[in-house]
Amino acid sequence: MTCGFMVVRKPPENFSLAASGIWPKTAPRIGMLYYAGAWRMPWHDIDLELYGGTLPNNLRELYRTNVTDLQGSGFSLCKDLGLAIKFLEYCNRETFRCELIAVYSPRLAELKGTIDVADDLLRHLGWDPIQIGGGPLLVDNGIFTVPDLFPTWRERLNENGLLASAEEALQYVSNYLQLVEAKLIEEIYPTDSNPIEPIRVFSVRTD
Amino acid sequence: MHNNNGITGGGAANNATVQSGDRQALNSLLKDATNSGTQPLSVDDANTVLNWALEQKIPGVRASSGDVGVPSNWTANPAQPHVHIPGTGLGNHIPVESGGTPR
Repeated sequence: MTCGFMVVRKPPENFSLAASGIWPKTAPRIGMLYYAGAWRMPWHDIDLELYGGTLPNNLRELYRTNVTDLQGSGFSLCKDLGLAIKFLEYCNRETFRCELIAVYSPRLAELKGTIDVADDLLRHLGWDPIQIGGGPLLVDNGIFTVPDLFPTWRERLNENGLLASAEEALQYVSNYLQLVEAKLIEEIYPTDSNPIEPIRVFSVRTD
Repeated sequence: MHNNNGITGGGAANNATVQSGDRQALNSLLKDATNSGTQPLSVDDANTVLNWALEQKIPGVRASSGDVGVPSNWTANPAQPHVHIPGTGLGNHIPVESGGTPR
């Protein structure tokens, strides 16, 4: 069971050469361990063409209709696997730098509903702590950016740069919030209005 | 349409998990104005968006001196001034040009 699909960059391609902006200038990694979570420039390659006016008309309409975030969760999800693959193929038409993921958490399920996907299409990657309506806590101001602030956590990341369980993700969140409290990390949004949720991330087989 | 979009505010109520049509429109405008997060909002556009978000009393909206200053307090990207408006789909940070007024 998942809440929906997103087209994201492959871990080593998770960066933008734009001189300014919100995306990392180099793919987040610690040593050779890349971040393979949900916040990998989701839908960015479609958005660039959408707002640049070069996305083909048929895809533009399909995207506007089927990839939405009416709840302001920060997760624009596509509920239709066939359509998500169509968007992926368009993004990869010249270079294979994107892949398809699926996400799930109880709160996302409340906000967005769920869809059933055949188990053999999904591969569990790990748990990614993300603030609903905000941003990721592993990257941006987290362990992938300032690993020295999280000295005990490097060895607890799995081979996908994610956490092994929802419980571990919540322990990481607790550590992160202590660092915010100590003003070592930038303040985040109020958690009563924007809760932090361990997000389960899956890669999706598309062949 | 990128910077200086003439972004104007709306009037509907909002919270972190239910978006009004105005919020939806704002989010599209922000993605458009920042070219999907790859370029900063102009100071004028940032002020317009912030004014609207503050009027709506959206929890967490801010543009502190550490946010809009250079270097900013954004660990991963200290060269980039920014403001904070939750629920935009751009993550924690909305990039803005330097020269904004803290609030």
